[in-house]
Amino acid sequence: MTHPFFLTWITLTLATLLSWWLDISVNGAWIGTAVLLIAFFKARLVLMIFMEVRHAPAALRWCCEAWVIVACTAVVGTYWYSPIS
Amino acid sequence: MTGTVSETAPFPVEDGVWVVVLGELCVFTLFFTTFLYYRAFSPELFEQSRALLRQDLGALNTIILLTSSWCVATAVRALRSVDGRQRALPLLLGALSCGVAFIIVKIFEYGGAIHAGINVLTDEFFMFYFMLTGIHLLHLLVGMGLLAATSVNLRRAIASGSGVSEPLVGFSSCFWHMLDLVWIILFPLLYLLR
Amino acid sequence: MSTQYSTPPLDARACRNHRIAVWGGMLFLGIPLGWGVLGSFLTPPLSPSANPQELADFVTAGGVLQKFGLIIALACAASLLPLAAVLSDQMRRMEGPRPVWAQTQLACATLTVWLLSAALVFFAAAAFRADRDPQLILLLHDLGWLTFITPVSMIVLWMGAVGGAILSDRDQPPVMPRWVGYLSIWAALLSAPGFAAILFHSGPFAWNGLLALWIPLVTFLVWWITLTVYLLKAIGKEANATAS
Repeated sequence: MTHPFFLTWITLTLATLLSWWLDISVNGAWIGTAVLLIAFFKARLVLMIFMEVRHAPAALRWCCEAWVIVACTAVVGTYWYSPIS
Repeated sequence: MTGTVSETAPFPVEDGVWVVVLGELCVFTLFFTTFLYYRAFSPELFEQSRALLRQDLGALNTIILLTSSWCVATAVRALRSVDGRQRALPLLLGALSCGVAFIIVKIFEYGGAIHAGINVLTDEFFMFYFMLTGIHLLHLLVGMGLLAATSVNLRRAIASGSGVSEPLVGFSSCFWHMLDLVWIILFPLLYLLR
Repeated sequence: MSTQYSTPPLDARACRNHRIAVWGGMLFLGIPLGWGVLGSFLTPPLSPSANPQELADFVTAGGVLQKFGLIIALACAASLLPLAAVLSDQMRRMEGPRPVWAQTQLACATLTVWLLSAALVFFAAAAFRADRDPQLILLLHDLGWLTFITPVSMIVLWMGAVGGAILSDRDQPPVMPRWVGYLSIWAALLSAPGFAAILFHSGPFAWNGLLALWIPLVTFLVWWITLTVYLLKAIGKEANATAS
């Protein structure tokens, strides 16, 4: 059962519980950002390992990496955006 | 058509599948940023309404979908060898049961909210909450249809000794992982972000 | 193994007619240009929460140019039908001798054209008497926009039927590349949230919003242009095969 898929599942589940725990028990301005970064880390794991993109041709691999970077930047950036200041 | 024997090579997925997967991911990213953009204008209201959500049910559904994704990935790996087919079918049915469990939790969650007098028109936060999770749920139903079709196809292939439809397996599995991926982002976005 | 059981060859005359039909579909751009730009319904669209007086002012300001734009849009609406007929013809080649998606596709295209025309007529009725009670102009605009945005089942089924037919093609090489089939399925999934326009008076899911109007609109244009290109290619390939 030590196939990468199983380890990935364990990591993803632990990351989910970690972000839930962070949200409940820690206070701080950086929690939201941390939770979003954990989410995109999980998203990348699903893409690379479950969807086997890490074995795919380079073009597809780069498209997926580009999505992770662009989406993560856009989401975290909009999260920090504040129209008042 | 029975696939390659090697268990290490990736399953052959058609290029076109990525048009759907990356296309959906880009549009969902637009949904995410639209939500955060609206949130920036009334953070107090969004925080107040977010606190009314059931974080435990959201986390439960995340783990349900992660498990279903593991089932699908393992089933597809089993399908790369001809003798792995028998193992793949229960895994696909497992993923389908996870889908059913997700829907039951969702009905429970929506029901609780509606019982508390909250609906899609309550405020901006709940507009996004119901619309984004609702659109995800619609996609999930399509994904379950695809997984069901794959299971039927596989059963027939086992019974008759013929090949599995590789395009169907590739599309349904990638579509399902995409659903999981979208929920992985939706969960912190709607349930956790303060 | 060919599934082209009994498709007659595309001779020079048929080839010319098919090409005219597909190119004629370009006239469909008259709807975004006439209704959207000349009629200024898309530059930018008024919100569903606009008050009746704003709408009355919009119609008065639109004047004869808006009516002219609506006439262009109404005149161009049916241009999708010949394109859909060619698409059905090609889909029959994909599906074999007992096609269903080809028929479904043609029916959906017909109904979409009919609904678009109905929506345009509601806007035309508002423009017809700009001096009527603003509340009635509000009603006509509601009818126009809701007819335009919310009946998503036709367009979703239309795109889904095209995608299903392309992916069920067993010929080598296929009549259309398989990614066009996947693109159709993606477009169908994206067009679905239009129904939400019934619920909201503002925000991204309202009829002037990003997610109910702009994304489905752009998706439709991308899908339609891709189909136009690959229909022309399919016709060209058939014509070459017949000539040689």
